[in-house]
Amino acid sequence: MQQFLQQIINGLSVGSIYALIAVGYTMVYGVLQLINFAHGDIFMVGGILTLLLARGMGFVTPDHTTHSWWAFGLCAAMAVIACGVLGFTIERLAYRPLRNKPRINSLITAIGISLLLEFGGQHKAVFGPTPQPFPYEMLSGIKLPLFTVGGLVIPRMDAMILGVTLLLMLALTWIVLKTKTGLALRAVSYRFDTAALMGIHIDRIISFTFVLGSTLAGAAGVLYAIKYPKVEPLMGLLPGVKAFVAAVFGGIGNIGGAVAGGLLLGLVETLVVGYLPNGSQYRDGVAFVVLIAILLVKPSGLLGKHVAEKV
Amino acid sequence: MSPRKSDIPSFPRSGWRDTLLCNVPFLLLLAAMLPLGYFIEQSGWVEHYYARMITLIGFNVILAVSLQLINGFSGQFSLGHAGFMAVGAYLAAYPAITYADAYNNPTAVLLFFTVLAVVAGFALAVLFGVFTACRLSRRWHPSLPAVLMLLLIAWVLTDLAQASRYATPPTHLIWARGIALIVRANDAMLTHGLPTAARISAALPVALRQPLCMVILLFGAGCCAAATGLIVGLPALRLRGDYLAIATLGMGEIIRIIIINTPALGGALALTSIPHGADFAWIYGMVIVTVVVIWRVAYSASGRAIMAVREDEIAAAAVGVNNTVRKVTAFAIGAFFAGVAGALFSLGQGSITPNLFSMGRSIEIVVMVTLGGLGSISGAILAAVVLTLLPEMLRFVEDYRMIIYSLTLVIMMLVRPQGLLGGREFWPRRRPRHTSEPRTSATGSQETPVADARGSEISLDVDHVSRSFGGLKAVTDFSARVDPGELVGLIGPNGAGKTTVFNLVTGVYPPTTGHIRLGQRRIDGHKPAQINRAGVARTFQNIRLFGNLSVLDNVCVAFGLHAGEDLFHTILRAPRFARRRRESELEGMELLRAFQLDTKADYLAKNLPYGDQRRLEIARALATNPKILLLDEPAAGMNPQEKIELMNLIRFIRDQFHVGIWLIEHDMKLVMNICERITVLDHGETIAVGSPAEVQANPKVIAAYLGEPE
Repeated sequence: MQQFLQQIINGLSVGSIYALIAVGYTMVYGVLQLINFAHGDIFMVGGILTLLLARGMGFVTPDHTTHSWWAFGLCAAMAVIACGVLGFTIERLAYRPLRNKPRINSLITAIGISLLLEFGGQHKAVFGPTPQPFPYEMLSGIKLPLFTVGGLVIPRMDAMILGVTLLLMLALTWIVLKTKTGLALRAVSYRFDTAALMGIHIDRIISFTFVLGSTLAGAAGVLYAIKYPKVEPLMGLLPGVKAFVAAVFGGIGNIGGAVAGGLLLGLVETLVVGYLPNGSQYRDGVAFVVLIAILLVKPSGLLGKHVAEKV
Repeated sequence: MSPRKSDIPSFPRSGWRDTLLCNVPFLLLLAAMLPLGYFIEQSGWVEHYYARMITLIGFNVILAVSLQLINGFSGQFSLGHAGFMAVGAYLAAYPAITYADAYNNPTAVLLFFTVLAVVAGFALAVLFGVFTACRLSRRWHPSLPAVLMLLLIAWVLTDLAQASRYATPPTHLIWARGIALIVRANDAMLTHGLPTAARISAALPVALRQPLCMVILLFGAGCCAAATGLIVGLPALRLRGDYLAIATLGMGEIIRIIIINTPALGGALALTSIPHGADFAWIYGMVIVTVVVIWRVAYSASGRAIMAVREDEIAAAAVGVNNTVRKVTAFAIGAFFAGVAGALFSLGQGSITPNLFSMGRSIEIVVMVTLGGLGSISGAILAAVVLTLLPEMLRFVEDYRMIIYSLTLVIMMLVRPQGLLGGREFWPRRRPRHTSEPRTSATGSQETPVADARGSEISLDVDHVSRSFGGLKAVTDFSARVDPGELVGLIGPNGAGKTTVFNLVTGVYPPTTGHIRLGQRRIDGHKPAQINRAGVARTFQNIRLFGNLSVLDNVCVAFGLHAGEDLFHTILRAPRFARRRRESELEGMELLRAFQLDTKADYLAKNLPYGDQRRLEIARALATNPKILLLDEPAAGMNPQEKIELMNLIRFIRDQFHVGIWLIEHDMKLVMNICERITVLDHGETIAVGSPAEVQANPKVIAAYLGEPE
């Protein structure tokens, strides 16, 4: 039982990272019906940039033990903001010109941008192809347990990941539900053309969506790099795809669904690794098996609404 | 066939000439690959590096062209092409290593694929059982299938997990034991069959053994991939657009992970020492076969139906196209050739690893197809060549190579979103042969292609039908009858449920209660395509033509597939195919002539003016040879002059084709003028039935349209 609970905590922590990425996918999809393939790479940029910034500002000494939480927080915040700017730029330059063209075109440019970020990152002047350790030791004591309840260990790391995710989700919920921009965002995702007729600046809202999503992805990248302390230009590939799976899983276009899907995916994955024989080998396949099973019985995802075409 | 048609001299009845003209150059081209292969690989004239580039281009052309059929022509979106390639590669490499005996034992390879087919048959039977159970259980409660599915998955997983503790799984572990049994049966078939196979092979002439081996390996691998495509496709093609994309992407990854976890296939490491069998001649031979087969499928009656599905699934179903069959056909053919490409790859390269078939590979193929232009086979070929060479040509910039590659990709998409060839073909497509001078006009025509429908006295009978959506009762207790040769109207204020009635009759959704009969046959609860084939055709309130198909093709789709237009005849361009194609083109032209559309037969339907589109939609509906024709607001958006013409046209159709016409219309003048009987709906309830005069005098009708007097 105790081991099971431990797995659940771990699963929630992984799942909340998926959820953060999935929210960005789902928001962009909700507004543009575009699978933003570059989203996973923005996640990667979040992780890598934190490392590069920390190094650049001299926070990382060769033995990795250095400075303090605030230094790390500063780097992370700067990286996350940069991710938001990156998301804005990508939308402006690569997706906006194609907005009225068939969706497959934006999809291909998305793939192109994704490749660009990956290959750009692999260039030796930027980062290089080899994985490098992430200086999570900056966060002194992150590996220690926060507290222990009857043998159940709550690690600080997972507590922090869950806490940050919760905070970001609350902020997002507030933005989407309580602000005027959020209202506009919902209107645009509900019906694009009509929203424009109601005087909503479509372009501004779409940019905002990209900034919001990319910021969350960047934050997820930092958290992921803390949990698995290693960064490389291809690190966004698998979490990116899985997060998209999570978004589809929860019903794409639905923010709550993306969170639920992400958490569920993290849980299922951890449990499979923990309890099935050779589970760790199937870890990356689980997401897809569950996805296909869910789609077959509920094609619109867990919380998605089935939209019938009007004849 | 009518007497007039056989008078036309320029169309010989036999199609052998076409068949020969198509197939002889194709065979010659195939034969030319042998000397060309010698020149490229052995003569020393071509550097090894370039020879290798040429083979790489070959693989990519096969992959791109086969994916074009799925993504470009059927409009599905598959992101798992590399998965099918992996299936082909591994299922060709394994028997080639284990059984082929350096390409000397084709019979053993054949045996391997036969055994595999038997095992796959079992698996399919189980899957079919599961899906039938799902479908049946949905009747009890909509979320029951989900629960059952999760329970089943849990059962299978725990079953297999428990079984891993035993050497032979005990009887209570049904799934593990079943799998063990199949494995044992499979071993038995192989061990007993192999000596015989070796004997048969030894009797074969030596020169035949290698080519036979290769053919069986390629075909077998292709079939395995196609079967995988079917297993994945049947359920997954219910999904639309992006969902399908992500499901196929997942499938590709699952296949890769399965391979990584199968020690017999080399696991995560490379599967090496695959005997070298696929040289230039084989690869380019298959390139030619792929291009020719896919070209022939794409530009044929089958391909037309596949494209109709891409253009508009609801309209396709309404003219009798079975959407599922068409999508699955395209999917399976595409998967087949991806499998062949995989087999060529493994038999040509000598070693393969699972990571060669990753998601990135699938994406690469999608990029080729899109960049070449969706719906263009020559575009896919061109893009495959360009995108294979581009990274190589950029070698001089070294580190920046892939960065430039991805930038080029983005810029090309931004500058030329429609792709290199933008849906056109590089070489001209055959133009339909038809005489363009009008011989009969709408009013003067004495014979029509579907005149043989005359005399069928089958009427449509709607019997106490209701339909509710959630709590909303769209139609309550509706009854009506349409006899052949009759003109019946259905009117009512907006939102009265008129179109819902048509949707119920044509099977867009089933009635909640009540029966619908065509003649003696119950048609309620059937699928739209079946109902159309039974004899009910319709047009739509908002015109639903196949916009990117020609006017003639729009009509020809609706003829359906006849003998000679199945895949077998289509691919071989058999004489019967050529005859049938000519017949349907002629029939289509005659029908268009009756609607004065024959001069525009080659236009794309989306480029027609509004009135022409309305008439084309009616012509398309009539091409399905209906007994009852449902017209949903045919006069919408027409000016008074056009309305008068439409009135004449409707009467002409009724007389000429002897169909029963049921009409929804808001234009009272038109309805009152031509309808013999009228039903009036309001809020889903029938408030009046009778002749135009009776209905006009009915106070309820007046109240429904003008409101109650205060």
